[in-house]
Amino acid sequence: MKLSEFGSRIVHVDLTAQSVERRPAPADWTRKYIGARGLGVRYLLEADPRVDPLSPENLLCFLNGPLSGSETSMSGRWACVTKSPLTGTVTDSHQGGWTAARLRWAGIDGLIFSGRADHPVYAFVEDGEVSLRDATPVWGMGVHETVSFFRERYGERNLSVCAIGGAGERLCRYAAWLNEDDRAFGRGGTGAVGGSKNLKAIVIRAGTKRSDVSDPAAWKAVRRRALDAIRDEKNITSPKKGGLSVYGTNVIMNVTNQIGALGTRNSQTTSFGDQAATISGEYVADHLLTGNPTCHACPVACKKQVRITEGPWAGLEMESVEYEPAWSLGANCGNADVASVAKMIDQCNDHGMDPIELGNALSVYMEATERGWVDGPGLAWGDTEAMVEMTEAIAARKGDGDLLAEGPAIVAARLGHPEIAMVAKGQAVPAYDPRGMKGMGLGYATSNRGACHLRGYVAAAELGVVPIDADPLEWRGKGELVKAFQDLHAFSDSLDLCKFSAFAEGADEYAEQYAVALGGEFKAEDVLLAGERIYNLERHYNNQAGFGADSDTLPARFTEEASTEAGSKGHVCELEPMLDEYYAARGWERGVVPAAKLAELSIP
Amino acid sequence: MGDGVLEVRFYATFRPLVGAASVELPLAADASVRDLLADILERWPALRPHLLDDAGGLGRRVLFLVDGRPVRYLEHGLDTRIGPGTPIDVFPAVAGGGSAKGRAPGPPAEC
Repeated sequence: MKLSEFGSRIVHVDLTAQSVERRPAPADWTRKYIGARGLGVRYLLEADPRVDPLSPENLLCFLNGPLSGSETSMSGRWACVTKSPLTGTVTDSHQGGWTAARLRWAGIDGLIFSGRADHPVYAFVEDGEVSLRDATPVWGMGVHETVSFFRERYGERNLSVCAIGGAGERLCRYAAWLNEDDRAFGRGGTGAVGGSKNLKAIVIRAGTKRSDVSDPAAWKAVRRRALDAIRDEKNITSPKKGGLSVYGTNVIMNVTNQIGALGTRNSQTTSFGDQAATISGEYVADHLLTGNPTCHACPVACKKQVRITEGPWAGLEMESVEYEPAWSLGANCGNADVASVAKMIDQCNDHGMDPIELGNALSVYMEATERGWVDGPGLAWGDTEAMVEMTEAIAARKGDGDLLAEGPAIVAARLGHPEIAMVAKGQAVPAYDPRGMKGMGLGYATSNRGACHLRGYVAAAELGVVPIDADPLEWRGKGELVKAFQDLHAFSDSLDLCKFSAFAEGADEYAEQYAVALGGEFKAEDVLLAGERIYNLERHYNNQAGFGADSDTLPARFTEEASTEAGSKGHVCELEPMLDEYYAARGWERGVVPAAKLAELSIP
Repeated sequence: MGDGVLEVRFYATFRPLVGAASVELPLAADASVRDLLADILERWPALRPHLLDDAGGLGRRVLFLVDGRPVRYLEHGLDTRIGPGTPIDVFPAVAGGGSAKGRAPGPPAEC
């Protein structure tokens, strides 16, 4: 497995013609856009950015990065890149687990699907070959049953299954792809694009392969330096000692609650008060935790296997009660029952849905119910049994579930009150209220895939745990800071390393691992330049897709209604002055990449 | 503010070191965060390497909240006065960690 050959094994699958063709990525593309996220956006630009996301003309790209599947720590990631049916923007989403590694070990760097099959199909990948096979027997199955089906057919050993569930088949706008039962390409509705193409699954069978590099000693040394940083006891990533490793991502719930950044009941307030404790990572660890699964090449093991022992969902075993869904289906819906949160996450994993978007669709519907804007019984805050039933209805597109499957922006608009949708570019906000963490608000507004915490995780600075002073309630200085985080993550998403690697590593570690893996010179400044180029490429795509000047917005609730709770009391999110700073740092004209900037970065 | 009792809440990896999620501590009139910190360290010396930096100041990785605000961003910092009803929450690093060498991940050193 020669790492320097990354990009030479891209497989193009025309689902309409049922043809499979292997064509290497242009060397210029892998040099400029690295892989995974960046390379996927470059491919996407080959189709018309104004394409209907659910039409055969849209491309659906599954791409590894140059380090995916190698021995590099936290490299068990791959990207799904397409035009989003939820937002109309470019979107990329990333999965952990073992699928990325197995794709690499099977001798493939990426799969690019176009067209639409005339019957359900799945792609089978083994020994460098890709074939399309009939998926009629599994069409209609949930993800869990689909995974079991293929494990029975091909054997469990060395097998990865990445599939859509019923939500994707029925074109829910926030449908997701899941692999190994529980790891999602969560955001942006990539699963609906799969459903629109009659593509049910990607099944990969491959045993472990070692990396082949030109300088094995240097390769070992650079990986050791990165691993030492990850293991450092002072870092949150430290195995079995750091907060991320011990409690998982949900260790953050109590923090955001106390500082007034935990949007509650559709972000009507900014803290869930004492009720946050029972949906927090500490509570899960004390009451439900049964195991600590991990991904390929990751010593952190942030996934938390849980078992529900009491109540209507007793006996449920699943992974993992992450912070984001614990918020979206918990505090955001006025729900303090962690068992019901686990149940709904598992429903999302089985039906193939994004729980962040689901929680926001539910919370919009709940607020509308509270305000008397829903005909019929609607949905009450924290009514867990009704939430679980509605989740089933959404996946099946039955009753009001058919409306909620469209996502919170369309739900709010159809109910006549678009102002209660907490979205940016049509995608729901995640779990950091911008009134309590203002840099995150700027990040939501300027994210190229719609509201997102992962395009630029400035929270690490605003919570004071990286060596950068960034008061969460101060707006000044956030423009340049958000840009820097966005550029760094654009690069790591293209390698493709787990975002959490940035809690221990920086541009230096990324650069030296990339340089040794592929050969040649590559420095920290090259990391940030490549990240900036990728971020601008995405924005250029969006500009062509119809997102022009002044498209970077937040709901007025965040910019005009002051927080009344906890540490952020009295604060709004000052988006406009932050945007001024941000556009100055980017060299953009009110959100549009000018021709001079494209030329400066050699785009496309 | 007179003598009283103050509730202090600990989270995540600090809880096993304290042995509780929340404790009540006596509080003198006109006590400051600095006084409270000294009392905490005296009662639970195992917290010392986690709360303090090499120079003996409050470590950058600690999120020490006073009424929901990181103490480092309060006007009077550790000299901020606290009373029996002041919410105090003490977290280890929970959202990140930063490089052991103190490098920022690329953003500017200050903002």
